[in-house]
Amino acid sequence: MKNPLNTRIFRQLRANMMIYAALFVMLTVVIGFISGLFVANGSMEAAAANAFTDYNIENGHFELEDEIGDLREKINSEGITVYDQYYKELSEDIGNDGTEDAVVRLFIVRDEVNMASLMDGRIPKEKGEIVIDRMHADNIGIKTGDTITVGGTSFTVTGLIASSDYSTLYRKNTDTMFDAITFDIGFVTADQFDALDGRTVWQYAYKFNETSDKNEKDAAEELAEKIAVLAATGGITDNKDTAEELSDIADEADILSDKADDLEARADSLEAEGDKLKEHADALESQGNKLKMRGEALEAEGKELEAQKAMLEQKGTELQERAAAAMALMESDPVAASAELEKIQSESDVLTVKGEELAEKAEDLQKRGDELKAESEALEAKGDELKKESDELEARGDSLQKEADDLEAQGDRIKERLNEIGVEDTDALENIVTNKLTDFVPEYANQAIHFAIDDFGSDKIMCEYLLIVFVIILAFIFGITAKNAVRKDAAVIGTLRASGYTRTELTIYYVAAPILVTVASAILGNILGYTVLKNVVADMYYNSYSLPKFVTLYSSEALVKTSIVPVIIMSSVTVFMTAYKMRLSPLKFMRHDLSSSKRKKAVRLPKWKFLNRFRTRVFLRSIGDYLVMFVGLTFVMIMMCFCLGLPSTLDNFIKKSGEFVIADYQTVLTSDKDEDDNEIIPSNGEKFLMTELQTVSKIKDGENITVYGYIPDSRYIDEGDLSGNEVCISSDYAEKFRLKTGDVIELKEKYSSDIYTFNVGKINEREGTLAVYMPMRSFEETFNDDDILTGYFSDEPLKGVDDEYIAKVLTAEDLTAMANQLKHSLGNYAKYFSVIFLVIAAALLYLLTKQIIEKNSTSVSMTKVLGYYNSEISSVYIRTTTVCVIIMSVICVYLGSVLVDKLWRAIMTDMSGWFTFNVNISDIFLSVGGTVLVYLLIALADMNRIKKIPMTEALKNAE
Amino acid sequence: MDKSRFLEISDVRKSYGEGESAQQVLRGMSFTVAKGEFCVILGPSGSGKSTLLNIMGGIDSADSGYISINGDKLKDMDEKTLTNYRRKHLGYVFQLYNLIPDLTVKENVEVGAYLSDKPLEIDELLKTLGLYEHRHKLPNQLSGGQQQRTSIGRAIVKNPDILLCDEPTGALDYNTSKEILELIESVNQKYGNTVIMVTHNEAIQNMADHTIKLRDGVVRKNIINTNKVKAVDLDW
Repeated sequence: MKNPLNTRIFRQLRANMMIYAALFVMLTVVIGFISGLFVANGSMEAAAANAFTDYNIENGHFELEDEIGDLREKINSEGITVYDQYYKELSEDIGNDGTEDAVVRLFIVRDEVNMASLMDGRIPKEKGEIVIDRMHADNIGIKTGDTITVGGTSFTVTGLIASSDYSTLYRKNTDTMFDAITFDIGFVTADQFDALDGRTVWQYAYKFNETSDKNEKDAAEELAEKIAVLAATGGITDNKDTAEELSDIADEADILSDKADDLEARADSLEAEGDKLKEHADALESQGNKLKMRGEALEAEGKELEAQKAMLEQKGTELQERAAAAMALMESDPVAASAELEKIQSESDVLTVKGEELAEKAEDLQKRGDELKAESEALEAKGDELKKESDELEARGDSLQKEADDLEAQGDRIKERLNEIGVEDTDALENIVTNKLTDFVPEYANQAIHFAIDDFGSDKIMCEYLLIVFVIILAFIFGITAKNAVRKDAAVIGTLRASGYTRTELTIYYVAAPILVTVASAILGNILGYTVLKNVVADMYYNSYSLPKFVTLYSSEALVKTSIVPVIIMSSVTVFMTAYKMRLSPLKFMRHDLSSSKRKKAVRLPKWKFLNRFRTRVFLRSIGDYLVMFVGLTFVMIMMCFCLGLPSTLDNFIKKSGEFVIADYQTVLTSDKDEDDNEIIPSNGEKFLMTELQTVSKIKDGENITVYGYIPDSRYIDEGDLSGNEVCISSDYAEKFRLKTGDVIELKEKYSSDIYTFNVGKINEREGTLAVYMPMRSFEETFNDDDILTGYFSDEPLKGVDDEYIAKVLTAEDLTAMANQLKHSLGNYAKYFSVIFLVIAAALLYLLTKQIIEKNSTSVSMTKVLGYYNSEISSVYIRTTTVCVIIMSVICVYLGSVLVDKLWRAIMTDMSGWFTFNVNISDIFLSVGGTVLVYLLIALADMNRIKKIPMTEALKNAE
Repeated sequence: MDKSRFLEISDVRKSYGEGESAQQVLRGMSFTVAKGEFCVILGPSGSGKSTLLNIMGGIDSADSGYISINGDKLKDMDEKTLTNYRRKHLGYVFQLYNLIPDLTVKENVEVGAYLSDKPLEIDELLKTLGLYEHRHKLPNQLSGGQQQRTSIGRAIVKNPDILLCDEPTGALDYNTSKEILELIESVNQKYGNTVIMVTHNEAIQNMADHTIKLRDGVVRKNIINTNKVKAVDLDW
């Protein structure tokens, strides 16, 4: 025979129609929404996952300072394929009113990697056509067929796209939040791209040719290092150690080259001196030759004089012989002798004259000979001197030769070292074209690709917990309802138990209604989830992210987590609570004595007025319900604080953003020198230096930190006295990494292992940025020139600098971009959700106050019989709850704000950047006020409920 | 006002249900009770005695006829006046005590005291009831007799004109029942309250000034007891 109790299950449902209907609606809506979220989430997650193959999403991308050129081949040899993905960032003017509405990052239409999903229209085919991001278009109000001005050129929007590598519109991967309002991406034809002015950012996507056993982080870090090395070495090597060796060699080669140049200069000088010496020698030789000729002439003259002398001497001898003969003849022939003597005399006179002439000539010759000798000696001295100089020159030449030999030997050693690292000759060093890796973002770390996907996951986890907590709360309410029914039916249960009905049969009867309601909610909720609510959730995602189209997929996870799990939780809690009560003996039921404890003692109360003690007793009796109310309200307040705090936090941030920026304009240059190597000096602004480092911290490793170097007496950054290694850090940096003055921070280079250590000397009040500030001199001493960027703070746009040298300009608007985006995407929903949670609070309060009144209905009835006015009874039973609700609301909102803050900190620690969550006092008041207001409406209903409790209740059911 | 007609029940009729299933519980009941009188209403189960008591207490209403207290007809009273009537003039004692389970003995008595402008001195009353040492206990820590004494304390602390007792000894043993009856008797004598006691214990009629016997919704006998005995001498 059928259990007759089963027929009463529906009667019980009818009897508690209001409670079960309220719980059913709430559970159905929550299950429906979460089921919809699981389905939409799972389907979109699958679409996003498929996008990796469907749209060939990159494994990462990098940016170089210059075009890749010949480096591509070298980089490709690292097991990847490099794809062009360079872009220009241009102003977007909607409505052609001359104002910049957004910045559009313009690419050439892609057909190999990171392809776009066409959401509407068609891809550009010719000049003057553009497709832009669908979400940005929705935000701004652009439709296919509209005309927009980009970089001064008018374009027809031929379609709207969702680019697989920009599912969330992050302008920079280091940005705290995406910005689909003031940032956009677009695609044009190659011809159109080339025709547009603007600096090209040389970005390249890559894909690994083969899957690697390495984890993606290690693989990406290794690749980044190799690309950085290849770029820096012009493709000579991809090995960092080799590159460092090469750098050392290059340094040595530079030194050697300088030495060689010096040697060459000295050799040239020596050669010039040698030439000069040679000229001297030639002149001396010429002079010598002349002297020699003159000497030979003198010698010839001398010989002739000798000959003449000899002839004169002979003649003289002959004259002496003739004179002797004449003398001899004198005796014999004096006349002849006299004549002869006279003749001899005459001839002797002639001879004497000739002799005197000869003597004069000889004397002259002697003189000239002496002169020649003197000249010859002088020449000889000069020759000696020249020889000495020549010897010296030779010695210097020998020395130079030795040095040259040494240099050659060093050169040979460098060649050997080059050969050892695979470089064939030094010419390679001289001919390389170096480049620089300026950015590297692996796919797994790319927020633009992963934020939405990760958000799916976090949403699911969050909603899963939310559902579980929600179901547990509702299960307790169901359990209390079942317990209440047991209490009401105590006599009947006692009789049935005494008649032979088992505990199990009765337990099943009392838990059947809540479980049936849960099952019905789960079924209807899932139907709604798969149909209507799925689209609601999908629209929410589409409103936040630029996602490709998706196909609804069946989700077994959704079914289990939104149907089976709630039913199990509901069954477990209600069965436990009901079965626990059912263990009492039939007699106790019949006596309406359902207390589980033996004989509990009354709590002694102070000597308050009677009604206050009465209220306290009511509170103590219903303390379990109030605890459930406390837990429920805390949960509600967490969500209310979040929903109300988020928009006002964003508003507050936007309002205060002007105070956060260092200067109205913060312009960063691509280089501090122009093409002609002249320093770029703008006509306004204050110079600063900047570099990007990453944290080395247990809290979060690899967070980007901007380091500023400021000039003495800076107008914009005045951090007072900082000594030695001390730096000032921004308050957000301090907050996120829990730093205080005196702490030591470690920061590392992005693409190297260099680590810098600083002492926190000061914490400034600058929010909205994670930054370190240090005097420029310390900055220059600390960092390598290659890693330093130059920029200028100014009150007006920077003047006197060509656009091509401007890397980026940061204004207050850029800081607020994140906040604006969040406000747009989440802010509005947050308000709606706050209303939903207020409704949940109302439902919770309604059910629990109803429980409390029903639990006390016999007492209420009895007080009526005794002659208490309804107002007095309400003041006892409702005022107690009112005071509890007000106190709980205050405590719970405090707890809620604290827990939201902790939750937010946990979320922000995992994310990049920092954003302090502020729950304004107005939000607190709104949360408490809203809760109290809905409670007061419920209290009115409760007053009516008390009014309706019949006096006969007390006569039927004595407690 | 004629004190002998302090409480007047005139042709009171009451039925439950509608149509064929309608059951007439009171079929035109009439009698009067004098002020300060100890009146016992006797009758078997289903005779309509509890229904009559509820109508007298303003908890239920008659279909026709009237009940007047001191000349004031209950049927002419609105809800607030009825509440005031209960508040000012009535005290209730029930078979199952109907104490508020979360209030202590003293607080349960205070529930009644709160309704009176001039309540009796509570501690004094508790001592009279023999409950002073139990005053901080909850009802579930008390015996049946102690609970019923607390219930009587709650009823008489406001010194009501009429004490309505619905089977006050119905859940008690012989000795405790006699104690309770003695207590009600002493209250009647000490404070001069009119006591209306519904019971099926015929022995109790011997201590009453006036006995009304009911059967099937009508008064079968209306007896003025000229030879009443003290409660302590009752036996059954």
